Amino acid sequence: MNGAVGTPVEAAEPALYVDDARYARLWSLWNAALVSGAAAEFDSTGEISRLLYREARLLDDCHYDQWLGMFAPDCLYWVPNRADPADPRTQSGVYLDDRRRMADRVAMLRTGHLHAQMPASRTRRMLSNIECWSGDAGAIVARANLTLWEQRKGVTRAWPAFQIYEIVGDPAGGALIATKIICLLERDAPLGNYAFIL
Amino acid sequence: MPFVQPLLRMPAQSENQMPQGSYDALVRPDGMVHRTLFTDPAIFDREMVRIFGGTWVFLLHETEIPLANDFKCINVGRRPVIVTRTAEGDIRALMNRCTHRGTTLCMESHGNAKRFQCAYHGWAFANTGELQTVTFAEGYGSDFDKAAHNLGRFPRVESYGGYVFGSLNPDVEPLSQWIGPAHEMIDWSRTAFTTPGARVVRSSSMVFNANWKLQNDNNGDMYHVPFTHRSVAQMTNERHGAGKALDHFRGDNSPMTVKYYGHGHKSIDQRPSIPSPWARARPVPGRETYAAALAARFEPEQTERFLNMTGRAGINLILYPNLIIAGAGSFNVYEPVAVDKTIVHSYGVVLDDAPAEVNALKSRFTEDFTGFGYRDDNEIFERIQHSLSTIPEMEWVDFSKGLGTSRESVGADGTITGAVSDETGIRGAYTYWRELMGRDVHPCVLV
Repeated sequence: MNGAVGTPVEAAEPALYVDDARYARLWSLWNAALVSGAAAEFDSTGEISRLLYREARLLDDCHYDQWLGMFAPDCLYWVPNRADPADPRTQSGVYLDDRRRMADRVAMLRTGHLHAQMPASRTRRMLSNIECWSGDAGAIVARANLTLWEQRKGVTRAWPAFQIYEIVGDPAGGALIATKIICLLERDAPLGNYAFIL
Repeated sequence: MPFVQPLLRMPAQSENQMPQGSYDALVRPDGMVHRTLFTDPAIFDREMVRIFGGTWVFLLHETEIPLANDFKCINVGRRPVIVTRTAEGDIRALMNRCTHRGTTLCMESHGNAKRFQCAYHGWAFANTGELQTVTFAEGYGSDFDKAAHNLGRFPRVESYGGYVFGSLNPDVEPLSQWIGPAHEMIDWSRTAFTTPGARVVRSSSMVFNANWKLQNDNNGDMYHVPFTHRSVAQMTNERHGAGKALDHFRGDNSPMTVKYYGHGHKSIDQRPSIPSPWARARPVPGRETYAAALAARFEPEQTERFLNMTGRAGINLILYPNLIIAGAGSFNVYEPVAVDKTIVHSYGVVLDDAPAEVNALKSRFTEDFTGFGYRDDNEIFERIQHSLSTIPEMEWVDFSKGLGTSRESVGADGTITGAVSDETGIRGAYTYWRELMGRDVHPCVLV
């Protein structure tokens, strides 16, 4: 595993893409994925589910550099904390990270002084109900249900959620996650002490 | 509404009846506090009456119920309470309990309602607390006293600077007298960082398995910062350079201070070391883009004023027992659930009359320390709770830092000022705990 103390993380570059247009894209993704009752447009087996399973596995196995590498340069990672989230420009969530702040979380884990992860949580993410639609500008929108199992200090608990992904093409020919939204079932209840990356 | 003293409103007698004087022995003048304050369920039960019923307790901010008939449901100690704004505009705190058979009346977290109808037998109450409708009333005799069945109502509700407090103790001192010299920090927080369009909103809530006083202590504790928050500080320093959050405390060679104001209130004054909250803020999503967007539309001075609404303002003002005001419109409320379980609600402010960029930056900054710093605090609280609960042979917790030195001074208004890493304020709060817990008169009365 490459989550060892002292392992360098990608540098904190200014995230110049977080502007009104990028927020609007996030907000429209949320609404499109939630409001439509339409049947999935295409089967998720194959490339998309391989991508989603890998992202889950890299987090579970603490391969954080490879995990960051699965995200587009202008990525957003949103964990809302309201029953019915509003435009995140107008309200806070558990967190809404750009690439720089995602890497901040990885760097925190690697300081070796994050007491809330000493001992570290062991996690397993179970993904199901994967459905896919065509998004804007050639993107693919996927939804999946998540059961995140966490074991720490002898206690095992679940963090059930549904997730929304916006997947875009990578110039190299693969696919990257441009947006990930984790919508916890208990999002508007007092949250326990999450210190791993949700 | 006439004052009534109905039969349903007698003081509860179920709390622990430890004789007066016993509490004195649990909080010692040498700064030692007994572990049972954090572990004994009977002491917790008494706190819910003597502290959360015996003095002023923070309820909500006025801007959370701005309109006539708005309401919000909260817990005061463990009591479910509906805080209403009546049609006349005054604020009332009502027990969320039907006076008939005890059903919780209102299940909504907030909303707008002129009356509340019980789901069990249909009794309906005005948002003033008055019983309006008894269904099938012919079944009650002529001696049925309707007024005696109004909702249980806090005898005292007062506000200062938009912060609304209630008390179940009708004899509690006036709110402004109780706040005392601590008002300076509330005043500073308001004038420096809020505008007429400021509206308080809940930003997040968290729960940990530890006693509520550990959170109250910790918010008045600067000593822990370099150690508990080493992960945040190191990450920030490595990735974002020196001069960012938490970099401003490196021991007592600083102009920062802690203060004890009386009535349990304490503070850490970090203002001398945080001239610009924005400059000290860790980079949040949108930092560069939105700062540039503001700079393109406003004069430099105005842009700086807007940006400084984002970031950690320089105060920790802890008003006993359940409120910490952190400035810039943000505050946290402690909600005790059990002797070893606490919920903390965090609030921020949305500025309806500020540019959208300001609110976007504030929203992202609100996620900053709650996500990064609170994790390690909560872990420490749970470790303390575990040790205090499991090792009865070690009875005392040590809050003596600063005693026996010449670092404390007493001002003309009675405020005690200490070095920033000293436990001066925490010790003060425990003297108030001892005073409230040791009273031999049951304080709580409903009207």
